[in-house]
Amino acid sequence: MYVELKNINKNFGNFQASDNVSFGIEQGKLIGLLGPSGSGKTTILRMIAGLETPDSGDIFINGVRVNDIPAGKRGIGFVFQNYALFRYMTVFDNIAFGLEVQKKTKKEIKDRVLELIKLIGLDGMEKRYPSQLSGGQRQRVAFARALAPNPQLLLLDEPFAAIDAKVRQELRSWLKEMIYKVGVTSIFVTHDQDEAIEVADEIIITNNGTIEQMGSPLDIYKNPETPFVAHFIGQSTILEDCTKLNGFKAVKSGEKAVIRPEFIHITRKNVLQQYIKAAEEGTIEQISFRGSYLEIKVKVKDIILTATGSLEDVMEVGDIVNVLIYRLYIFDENNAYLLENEEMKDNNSVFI
Amino acid sequence: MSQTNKIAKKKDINQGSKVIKVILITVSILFLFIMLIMPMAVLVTYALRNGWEAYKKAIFDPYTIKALWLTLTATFAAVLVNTVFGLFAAWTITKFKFRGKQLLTTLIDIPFAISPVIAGLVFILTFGRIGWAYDYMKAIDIKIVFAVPGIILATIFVTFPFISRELIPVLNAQGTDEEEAAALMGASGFKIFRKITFPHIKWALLYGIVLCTARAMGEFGAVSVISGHLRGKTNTLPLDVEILYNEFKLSSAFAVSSILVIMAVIILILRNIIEYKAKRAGE
Amino acid sequence: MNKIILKKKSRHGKRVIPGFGISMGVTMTMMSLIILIPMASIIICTAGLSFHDFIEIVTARDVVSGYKVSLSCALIAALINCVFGVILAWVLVRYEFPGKRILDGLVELPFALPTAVAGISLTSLYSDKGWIGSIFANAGIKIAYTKIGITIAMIFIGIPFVVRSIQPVLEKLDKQYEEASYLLGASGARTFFKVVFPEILPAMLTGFGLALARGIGEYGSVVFIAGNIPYKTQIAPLLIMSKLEQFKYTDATAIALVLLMISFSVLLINNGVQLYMNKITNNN
Repeated sequence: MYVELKNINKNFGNFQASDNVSFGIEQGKLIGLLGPSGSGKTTILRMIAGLETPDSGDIFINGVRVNDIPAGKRGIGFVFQNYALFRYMTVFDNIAFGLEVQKKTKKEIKDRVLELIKLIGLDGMEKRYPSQLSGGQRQRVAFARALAPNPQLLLLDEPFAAIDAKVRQELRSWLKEMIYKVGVTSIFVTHDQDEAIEVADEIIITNNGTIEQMGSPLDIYKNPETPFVAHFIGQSTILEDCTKLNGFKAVKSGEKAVIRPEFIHITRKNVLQQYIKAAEEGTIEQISFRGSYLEIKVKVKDIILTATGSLEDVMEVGDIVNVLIYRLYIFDENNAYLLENEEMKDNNSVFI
Repeated sequence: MSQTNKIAKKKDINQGSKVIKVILITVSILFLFIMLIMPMAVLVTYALRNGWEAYKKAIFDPYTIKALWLTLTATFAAVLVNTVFGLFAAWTITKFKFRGKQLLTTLIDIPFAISPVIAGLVFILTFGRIGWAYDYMKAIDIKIVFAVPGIILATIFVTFPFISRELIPVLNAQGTDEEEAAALMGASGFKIFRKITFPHIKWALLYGIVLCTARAMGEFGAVSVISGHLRGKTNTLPLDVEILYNEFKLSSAFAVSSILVIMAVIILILRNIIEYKAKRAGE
Repeated sequence: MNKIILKKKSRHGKRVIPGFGISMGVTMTMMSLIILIPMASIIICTAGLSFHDFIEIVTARDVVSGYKVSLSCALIAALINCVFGVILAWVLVRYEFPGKRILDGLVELPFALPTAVAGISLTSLYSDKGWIGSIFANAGIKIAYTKIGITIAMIFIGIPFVVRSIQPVLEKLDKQYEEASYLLGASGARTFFKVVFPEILPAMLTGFGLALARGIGEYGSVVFIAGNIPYKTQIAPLLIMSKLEQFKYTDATAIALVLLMISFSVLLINNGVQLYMNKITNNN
């Protein structure tokens, strides 16, 4: 493991920001720390950087225990949410800053800075000041500045939070591409799911100062290991009592269920389909346009479920439809597991 | 994050060595000690040098009392006039857009930038015997130069911008949204000011009044020019101090000074309290 | 109030907030009475002077010496206040230690203290028999009644200007700049001089300008310790005062006019530098 945290604890006064946090990251990977506000993800990042000190526990980077090494000497590049570009220095000087600290020669500095400026696509803007750049451009400069001294680890603290939505999309893919090009191990913090899913090789989900789950985006999405993850990722509705639904009578009391829109399939009442026995009858309550698809709220046995519908077959409020629920995530306080619709296992449900 | 920010702020930024911290604090304390505390110590020592009786005698001297009275009168007048001006000027400048706003703001700051002696000179040139307004004043039988009105006028001049300078930044930061909303709902100007604007500027106003008072009481240069130094008639407390000092009555000079110092200390404490309360209210 | 709104309609469109007419009126009236008209007297008085005579007055040897003394001492005092102002502001904002609040309040003293009181206290302290003055007198250095004394008095009254200008800026300074600098490997010193200092420079310059302007015009606290030795320790304001005492009003006014021009230039240059620095940080 290139970066390792072992039993990290951190308190701010009465507030426990990190509670026995342990994980490892392989070299060259791009990791996303994802979680709600106050879950401790930024604290973890800042402790790795050396901007905060853990109360207990160890942090290793490339095999070296860095707890006692000051922030500036850990070989870390850091990109701040609000760029933190030095306002009174030009783009060139900003990027050159770390190299000057390393006492590189003027020529070395010039070559490296211009190389980076080319990499981030800001040719010709070396003499500009940060105030003369757009948000996206500033973040790119911040990225170059962090990379200039060839850090062994790149940390990014909600790097796109301060950027306009449209630019954010472009910048996201740009960042992922850049990090692969440079090949530096990277960890970034975000509270935006879509961002984490799109950019990261692996995601670490934080909650209340603890790590809920670590894995690839697909893994986390399809196989949530804790109730929190099941609820946090993706769009979902929570059901208190799902035994009312066809095919899920095996659910024990005290267990709740999470339904995702992709677990539900809605078809018109008189359209032939498989598994009709497993389906429920439902009434459409509300339809909302979401750009490329429809969000449909359908009422099944006085539970309101959220599903998606295509623009090809637009239904109407009040229509009676068939609602087929493939599976549910079931969870209580401690466990979460996937439960398939019992009725669908029945083989004699095909008919003409 | 902001909660953790505040607590972590002081600890983690000062990764610089403790040595530097100690050096800087020591330098600061030494500097202030030599520049500020020692002069004050001198004052207290010299004031009481001839004993407590002499001190009381100097303070309760009839000329001193008269001077104190004049100082307080001028101060009161200055605070009154400048509060009125300050409020109107701040309202005009911060709530409206108009051409020449920048010029107006600069003009208001004039007394702040010019030497007090010049301030006094200006009034002599206007109302003194060679002044163009002298004859008008004589006609209505008002004596300004070498008389109390002149002293009051000079004090007002010198402290003119103090209150508006405190109010303007606060009002600028507040913006005009609230007042506009109230106006659109039909509230009258006075009501808007009383209920919406005033709560915002409560502390700034108090602060400005405190500063104005301090400056007015201590004003020396301008008043010196215009007063004529007639003991018992046109002497303010600072002028009285000067006279005693020039007559080598050191101990008395410092004794009278101590009155002003006590008032200055009260003002400092008031200012701290106001700042503290304002910060509390701001949070 | 509504009538006033309607009256203004023609020029500026309807003003929403009421009271423009009255407040502008009161403001302009008071300003004219108290500031503008009296200030105009300076122009009126010097208008009668021919250009040649004017130059003759203001270039007299003692007058020029007065300007030099005031300017040079004020400059040095303001510079010293810059250095200590930065240190004091840093200490008050970044460190915690017992007695900090007292120190903070102490900084305000020169503002609250009457100038004459400061003047006689400083003189007594630095005179040859004074507590500090005697120490230096033994080494053959005179402080009171020399330019050194004048400078010390000017430092005294200028202390709050720089400190109070820098403090709020330092308090609001985003700590991310310094964190970014540390993470790039910079030492505390490099971080301060290359990252923090440019950020507080505009505020420092404001304080510098104010302290300088104040020092040039200061009378009460300086006049006692100066001793007013002609060509040596005569400050410009005192020269004006003495011309007045000799009833040479035009002379006094001419000298005052030049002093005003010097003060205004100081403030103008100050403003100019700050505008320039502002342009860098706020997109032009």
